[in-house]
Parts: sequence; C-alpha cells; structure tokens
Amino acid sequence: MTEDVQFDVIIVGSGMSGGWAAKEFCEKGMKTLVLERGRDVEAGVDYVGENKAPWDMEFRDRVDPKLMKNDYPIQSECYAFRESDRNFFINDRENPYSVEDGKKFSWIRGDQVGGKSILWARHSYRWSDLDFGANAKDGYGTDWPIRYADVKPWYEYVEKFVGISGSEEGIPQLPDSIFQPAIELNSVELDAKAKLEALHDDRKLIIGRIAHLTKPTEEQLKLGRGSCQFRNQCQRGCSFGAYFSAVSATLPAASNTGNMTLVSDTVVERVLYDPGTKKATGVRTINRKTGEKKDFTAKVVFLCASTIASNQILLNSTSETFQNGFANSSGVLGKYFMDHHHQVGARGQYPGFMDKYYFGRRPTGFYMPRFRNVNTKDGDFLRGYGFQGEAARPSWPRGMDQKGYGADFKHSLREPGGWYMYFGGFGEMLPRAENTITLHPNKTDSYGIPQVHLNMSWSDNERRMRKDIQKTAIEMLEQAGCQDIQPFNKEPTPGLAIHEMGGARMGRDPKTSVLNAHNQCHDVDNVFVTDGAAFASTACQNPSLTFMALTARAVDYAATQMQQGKL
Amino acid sequence: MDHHKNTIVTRRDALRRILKTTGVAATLPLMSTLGACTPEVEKQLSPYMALIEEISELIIPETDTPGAKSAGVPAYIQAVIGSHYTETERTRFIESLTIFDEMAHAENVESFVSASADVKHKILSALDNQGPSTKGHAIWREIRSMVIFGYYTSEAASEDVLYEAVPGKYDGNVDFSEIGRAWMIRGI
Ligand SMILES: Cc1cc2nc3c(=O)[nH]c(=O)nc-3n(C[C@H](O)[C@H](O)[C@H](O)COP(=O)(O)OP(=O)(O)OC[C@H]3O[C@@H](n4cnc5c(N)ncnc54)[C@H](O)[C@@H]3O)c2cc1C
Repeated sequence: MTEDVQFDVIIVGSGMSGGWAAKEFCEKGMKTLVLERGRDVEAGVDYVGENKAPWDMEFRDRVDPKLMKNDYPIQSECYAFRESDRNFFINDRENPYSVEDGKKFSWIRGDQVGGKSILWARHSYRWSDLDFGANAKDGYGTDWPIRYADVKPWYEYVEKFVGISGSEEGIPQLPDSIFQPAIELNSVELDAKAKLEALHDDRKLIIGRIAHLTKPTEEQLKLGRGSCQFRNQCQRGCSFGAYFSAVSATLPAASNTGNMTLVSDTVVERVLYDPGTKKATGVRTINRKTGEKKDFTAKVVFLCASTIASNQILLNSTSETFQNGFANSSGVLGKYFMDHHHQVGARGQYPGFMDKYYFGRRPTGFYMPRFRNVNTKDGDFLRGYGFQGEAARPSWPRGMDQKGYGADFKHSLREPGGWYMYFGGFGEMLPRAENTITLHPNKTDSYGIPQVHLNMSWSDNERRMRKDIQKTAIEMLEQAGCQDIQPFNKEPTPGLAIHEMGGARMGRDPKTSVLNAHNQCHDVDNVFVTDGAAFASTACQNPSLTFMALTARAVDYAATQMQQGKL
Repeated sequence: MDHHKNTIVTRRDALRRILKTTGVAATLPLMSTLGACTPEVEKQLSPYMALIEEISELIIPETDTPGAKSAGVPAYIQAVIGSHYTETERTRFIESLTIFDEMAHAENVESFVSASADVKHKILSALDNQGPSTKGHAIWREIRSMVIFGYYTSEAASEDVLYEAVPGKYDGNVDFSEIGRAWMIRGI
C-alpha cells in the first residue's frame, strides 16, 4: 500500500495537532503519511456509546470496578471516564509508564485515530501577549520566540474551520475568536454576572467558549457536520459532527484531497537521522498487531503525538550525533514539563430563582477570564488563573445523599433542588527545569520502547496562587449572595488537568531551546514538533486551540520552504 | 404540567424518527457485551431477591408513576451484585441483608418480607434515622443508593422525571412551570 508512494511528509499522531497537520499538508497538495499508534476510528460507526439512554446500558454507564482497577486505574481518574466512552481511553495495564518515586503523574491518553480530540471538553480560548510575554517578564523559563501578532492570523484561520461558539467581549487578555452564536448563560449566571461585574471592573463572567457548531458554515456542512443538539454526551462521539474533533473535521478534510495515507496500529519508535545530510530521513515504526518493524521515509517529519509521547520519541531517537535525544544539542529536551493546576475553588447555594429552570443539556459552563497580575501586580504569586463554573439545579442524585424513602420522598425528587453555583480555578504553572520527561533506563513497554519516566511537582507559586483562587471564589460567591459556601482545594495529581505542555520548548536561542519560532528543530531543519511539547509556558487558558493554530502556522512555513526547495 | 410533558414526548418521538431516517440510530453498533451474572451467582442471590424487591418498592413505590419494581430495579441490583461486586463484596452484601429479618424478629415477625406495612415502615424509618455507627446503617445506605440510582436511570423513571434524548436547543431562562418536572440527567 505505502511502498511505492514517495511521501512528502510524515505526521506522527492523528489527534488534535496531527489532524491539523494532515489537513494543511494535504490541501497544499503534499503526499502525506499519517502514522497513528492507536486503532482506527470512523466517525459515527465507532461511537459505540452514542445515542444510548441510561437504561440502554446494563450498568447505566458505570464501569465495572474490577475492570477499572485492573485495566484503567489511571484513566478512571479522569472525570469523563465512563462505560459509554471507555473505548476512547487507553488501557493502562497494556501501556505502562514510569513515575518518579514518591510522586504521582496521571497520564490520560486516547489510543486511537483522533487521539484525545474525541474526549476533550472543547473549551477554546485564545492566548494573548500577557501569555506569550510571561516568561520574558518574570524570568521563569525562556522567552517565547513569538507574540500574539504572529499567532493571530492562525487563530482566525483555524477558528473558521473548527467553529467556536462564544460571545464577543473585547477583553485584551482573552482576545475574541471568530465566533458562531454564543450559547446562553442561565438566569442565575446572568444574575451573578450583573452583581460581580458591578463590583469588579476587572472581571467578566462570560459563557464558556467551546468548539461546537451553533451556525455551521457551508464548509462545515459539506464535511457532514451540523449544529449542536445539546445532548452533552460529547465524549461518546457525536454523529452530528457538532463538536470539533480530528475525526469529525480535520481528517475527513484531509482525506477528501486524496493526498492522505493514514496508517493506524503503527507505533513510531524513533526518528531516523542521516548525519551526512544532517536531516531526518523518516521514522521507524512497529506494527502493533504483528510486531513487524518498518521504516518510512519522507522529506519532512511532523511530530504531533501529544506532549509526552513526542518527547518520548525525541528522547528515544538517539544516534552518534544525538546521544542525549534527537535535536538536543541544547540539553533541555524533556525539561520544563508543565500542566495546569485545578480542583480548587468553592461552591454555594444560590437563593431564589425557584421559578426558573432550563431546557437542554448545555455542553459548557461559564468562564471568568484571568484578572490577577494583568495590569497591576496582585498578590504574592506570579502569573494567574481563570475560573470555570456553572449554576444549576441538582436533580435526583441529591436523593442519594439525603434521607428518606417512600412516596413523599419520590415525589420530592420530581422538582429540582435549589440553585447552586461553583467557581473552579485553572491556574498557570511555572516552567521549571526540575519537572522532567526522561526515558526509564531499563523499563520498556510492550513494544520494547523505553518507558517514559515522569517527574513533576507543584511549586510554592502554584500553592500560593491556589490560596488566592479559593479566597476569591468564596468572596465572589458571597458577593453574588450565596449561602452555605463550601470551599475545595484538593492538590491535584499532576496530569489530571490533561493540559500537558513543554519538554521541547520553542525559543530564540538554540542553546536553551529545542525548537525555533516555527516549531522547527534548531538542530534538524526538516523535523517539526507542533503539539504541546513545543510550549515554553502554559498560560492559564486551555491550550488546544493554540496547539491547532501553531500547527497550521508551522505547516504553512514548512510547505513554503519545501516549495522553495529549502527542505 | 402533564400537557407539556406530552408535547415533550411527542417531540422526542419525532426526533427519534429523524435520527432513524438519517440512519444515525440505525447504524449504531452494540456496546461490547458486559458480563451478566453467572448461573452460580444467580443461585446464590435468588433467596434474597424477594427481600431486595420488597425494599426497592418501599424506597421508590408505585404512585401515579411506576415504582422501583416495575422499573426493573431488582434486576439491576442483581446485575450489579452479580457482576460488579467481587466475591468478598457479594458475600458481605448478602450477610448484611440479614439485618432486615433481625429487625423483623425484634418485632415478633418471621421475616421482613412477611411483616405488615406498619412494621416494615417502622424498620425502614429506624434504619433511615440511625447514626453511621449503627449496625444496618451501611447496608441501608448502600441498597438505598442502588435503588435510587437504578430507578432514576430506568426508562420507567422517564414517566416520573423528564428525559429528552435529543433536546435540540438550550434555553437557559425558562419558567419552571413550563417544564414542570426535574430533568433526569444522566446519573453516574
Ligand atoms: C477529558 C478531557 C478533557 C479535555 N478538555 C479540554 C478542553 O476543554 N480544552 C482544551 O484545550 N483541551 C482539553 N483537553 C486536552 C486536549 O484533548 C489535548 O490538549 C489535545 O488533544 C492534545 O492534542 P495532541 O495532538 O497533542 O494529542 P492527542 O489529541 O492526544 O493526539 C496524539 C495522537 O498521537 C498518537 N500517538 C502517540 N504516540 C504515538 C507514537 N509513538 N506513534 C504514533 N502515534 C502516536 C496518539 O495515539 C494520539 O492519537 C482535554 C482532554 C481530555 C482527555
């Protein structure tokens, strides 16, 4: 199948980033080979949990605890892990990795075409110069070689294709995307918004911006995508194609060009290097089903295997020239590994509005963009955080926590409970050299590839920020008039924000960074890394929109170089 | 309220039809088969099923809408105990159930199942109001949770609270009177 095709480019990974690389290269007429370690997923057909009512599942969407313990001890820590989407999570038992003694890291992974783009919560926010300039400002990490102006056209470019619903707000630190119509805040959220915005001119409570179609474009309709139906069962897959995933959007677009060859069940073991030309020649792969090893060649290689996996491939691609990992003359490969910190905030009862309710299951909540350390220096910590939250009325599950039985009890659950509201922070993590991805010296995975060894812990800056997050969440709930406020602050296991970034950071100086301003290896010009591994800092916004924008931007650059015969 | 509910049901059926004609529902593959109870486990549980049925129906009785029994809650509980519980958990569960008959004996009745309605309520209300350190507290909370969960994730419960497979829109500012009942939401 693939033997006689001369590929222009190899893309490793078919998820959020790889899907974009595939679409862009294919649409530019390049013969593109996409290599994916996981199994194939066809939109609709492989959404095995979709359209199932709770009673259509024998165990009502709960996973067998024995299976969870044996096969999914890590994946089941993810809030989204259920029987109806278990098929999109990796099997932990079959796919071991290593963590530093005394530390924890929960690596949440998809293991299929589409990667984690099938599972994501779809929150999509632009970053601004507050974020791209953060390292330069306080000296943690190295300066990003790009600024908002470099990325802005690429945000616009990907947003038009992805489809983001949201409201225009004109907030400098959270620039507006190109939006499809916003989903509504509910009556209680609107009440809180009015109260809080009146008290704080630095804060806005807005609807969460999510990659859902609310007014599909011609282009989206042609790909078979339609409007959101407000089922809020997205992680099972959506046959309406209403939310963006590689499977619903980028891969079909790439496939339509006739230029894509997608090979699933194929694990990339390493990048192959020719010291004579100082270029990569391709990649070595292992067929998951047969164990057969096979080399593929191309002019250019894009690593889009997700932050940790791309680091693993680079670290494993050693040679005479690169004894400590591919394109690692700087020695920083695998360092400055980051995630967001979350699971901190507060929840309270919101009095009144008992005559108000909602229709439909909204697949988003509200968002309050960062307001700390924006124009002034606030508090005793660097960087900042944003809040995600929601107001809602609890339904029958509250009955399990209460007392009671019998007809009165049953009838009392026919009405929803009183409103509650919560604010949960997502905070920026400082880039620090001691948080690392390395290869374990002797443990290997089932393909004989050295296991990644993860070592991450929070610093005092994150802890101080968490105190402020909690205090501020309580304050705002009080200001909104809430009662019975319950704070929470559970120091999260690193990895569980599922926003891993860093390890092969972009930078201006080849001595202190792996990639240049175009996600291109300083040391090897035909290898690009365009997933989260490239990131020099984390901002506090969800990162995937920026992964996509930087991927499209890097392809544009690489393709131009190829057309000019430079690559 | 009921009038509104009818319109919702009708629309739901219409949406189902749309799904069918566009082929979405028709092409759905089956979930991987889940292990149902083995015959041995079924045998082990069968002497307790009458008790489980009785307790289920007392927690969520039939009123103007179906109760736990006709909603299939006992079968759901049997499946969970049979397939999701380990052997040790299953044995512990079965042993803990004896509290119901013990409490019946204290009332001079042979068994919980054969007790009068008054005695049953006396026992359940004692269990419901007792503190966490009392014998019987854990099994009461456990079985009660299973009944509530099993009931409100059953199709029959969609006659009691509202379920909308494909809402099609989100309206965040609706008068409760227009909806009339709590949404079923998806449990977990
Ligand atoms: C439950 C959940 C909620 C989330 N919510 C949000 C959110 O709201 N907003 C947001 O921005 N982000 C969110 N994320 C994170 C988001 O999913 C990731 O940031 C994004 O998918 C990462 O893109 P990627 O291309 O780097 O990796 P992935 O999408 O994971 O794709 C990587 C692909 O590479 C493949 N691969 C790995 N190793 C190899 C190899 N050696 N050879 C070949 N192929 C390989 C993988 O199997 C996978 O298919 C969420 C994630 C989860 C799980």
